Amino acid sequence: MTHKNVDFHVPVLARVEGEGAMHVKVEDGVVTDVRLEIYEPPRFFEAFLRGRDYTEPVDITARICGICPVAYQMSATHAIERACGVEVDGPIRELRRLLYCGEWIESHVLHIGFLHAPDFLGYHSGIAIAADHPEMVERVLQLKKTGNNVVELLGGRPIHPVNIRLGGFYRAPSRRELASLLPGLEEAREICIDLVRWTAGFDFPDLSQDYEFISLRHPDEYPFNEGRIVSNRGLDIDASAFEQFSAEEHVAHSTALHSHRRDGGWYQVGPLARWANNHDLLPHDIQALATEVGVGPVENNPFKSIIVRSLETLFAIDEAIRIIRAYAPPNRPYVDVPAREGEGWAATEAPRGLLYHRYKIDEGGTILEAQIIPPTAQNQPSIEADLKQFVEQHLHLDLEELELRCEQTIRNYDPCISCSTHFMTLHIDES
Amino acid sequence: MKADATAEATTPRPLIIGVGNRDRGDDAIGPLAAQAFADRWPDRAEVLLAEGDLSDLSLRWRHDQFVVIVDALMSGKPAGTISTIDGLDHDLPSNRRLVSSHGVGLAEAISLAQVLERQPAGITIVGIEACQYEHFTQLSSGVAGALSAAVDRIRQVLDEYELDTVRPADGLGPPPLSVPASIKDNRGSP
Repeated sequence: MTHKNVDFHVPVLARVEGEGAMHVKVEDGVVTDVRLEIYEPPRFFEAFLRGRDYTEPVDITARICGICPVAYQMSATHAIERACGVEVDGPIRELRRLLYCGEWIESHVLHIGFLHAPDFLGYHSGIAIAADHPEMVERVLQLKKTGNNVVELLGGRPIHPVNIRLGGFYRAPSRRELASLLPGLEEAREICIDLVRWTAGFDFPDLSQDYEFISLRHPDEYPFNEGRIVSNRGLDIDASAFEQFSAEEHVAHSTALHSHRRDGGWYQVGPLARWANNHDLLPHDIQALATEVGVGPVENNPFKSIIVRSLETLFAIDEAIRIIRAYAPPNRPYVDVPAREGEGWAATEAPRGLLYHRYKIDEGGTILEAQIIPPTAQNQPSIEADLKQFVEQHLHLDLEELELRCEQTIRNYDPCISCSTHFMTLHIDES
Repeated sequence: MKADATAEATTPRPLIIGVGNRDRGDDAIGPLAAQAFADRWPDRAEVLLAEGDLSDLSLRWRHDQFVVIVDALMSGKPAGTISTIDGLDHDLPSNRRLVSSHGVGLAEAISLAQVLERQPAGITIVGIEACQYEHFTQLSSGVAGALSAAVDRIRQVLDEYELDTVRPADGLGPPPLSVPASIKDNRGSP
């Protein structure tokens, strides 16, 4: 039976940092209202940063998120270093990429194994998967621990790293210390290849949109920290022009800002966007594995983001191995970043997408303005567009299945608010 | 029961895990109490701070290790009320009450360890009733006032565990691994 009138109202998102809700309304077979209502704290952080010293955002912004602190640290350091006219290169640059590898592994594996895979396998949580597939979950945990080890060695802690500073690190690791990570990474590589094939074996609901994918693009490398902001529709701008391209607006149903193109329309950031814009920069063996599991250079089915995350995890492992093998410690673990009056912009690739920071500082290093645009804010319109299309195309599903698929549609984006095994509890009012 | 490859033959020291985000008001009580215990009795236990996702908690302990987890608790009692809970009890409250701010929460992490047969010899949760979790705020007065008592409670739990696991004088058999009597259902006693 096809539902003509449906009204989902989800009042509370459980076990998430912040609060949110979802509302979907169908009248006469047409989706008339889709609202993803979330409440994120970045506005608070920006106000908190004003008046503080330019060295502080590296630590303060790391505490916005317990899953992707490195992304916040990297966007903050790059933006402030740019404001101060400093460029970091050589081994320190490589260590930053390595740190990002660790965070991608941690974050992607958590989402794949514990938050997203249950949707595809019909379980309510990763724990339920573990009961039937303990070996796979054990391997997922081992993979995640590999990422933890990278972040802990470079950052001093697996969560909220404390070894990061403007210009680099308080202390750079020795070659021996980094080499100690190699056996675990090499083992993780084999596990990850299995993970790619495991996720590719899931059944994927039908959904495809003509997305505008926005990500960094670097001429030589799959992007973490550096590159221009590009799209598959011809956008190619420096980070300093991002706010001329993308605008944030308040919407009545959410305290979180929604991002959209200033000239109209919405876009998507995250793994599918990076993949579409940088596929040619991946190692050939990862491209070949992607082809083997049915993922092309552009993937427009958001449910298949779980495969792309697995492939990106594999890339992060390979990149970590490459960096460690070539590593020569820097003479100093950081370069000096003296304060000067100026403005700096940076975007880096958080696991869940482009994370933009802008800082304006005075000659003494006091922060006058701060602007942070997180990936989840940018993806909200895309999530709502997916929900609208999915519901319209799947009104024949029974309501329970439809609800579950709506949650899964949201989880495709690994939104920061959904860092839990259950995104939400749904209350349904069928008109 | 599975043991980590690094496990030693000897029974390890207890492990105290302080769970919570140190920048979110009362959520900081877990790390603060665990750290305060380590500062006061540095040789009595290993101490670990866990501030984010807890999915891999089971990789951090040994199967023959006694674990004390210190965390903020929400059950409607006055802020600062200290409870002790058997962490391997199957009716462990979900983290709607045990506040872990991100990722896989404490209750789920322990359940996962049990499913994977990676649980330690015993887990006691020392929960401190909390009331606010705003970013960059201090502990509420009620929770701040309970910090010292929480540290004492950790010590008490370890004392009782060690009393319960003292090898009998005749040396017969392995020491029993049991949950200390005082931690069974004595929630609410500050």
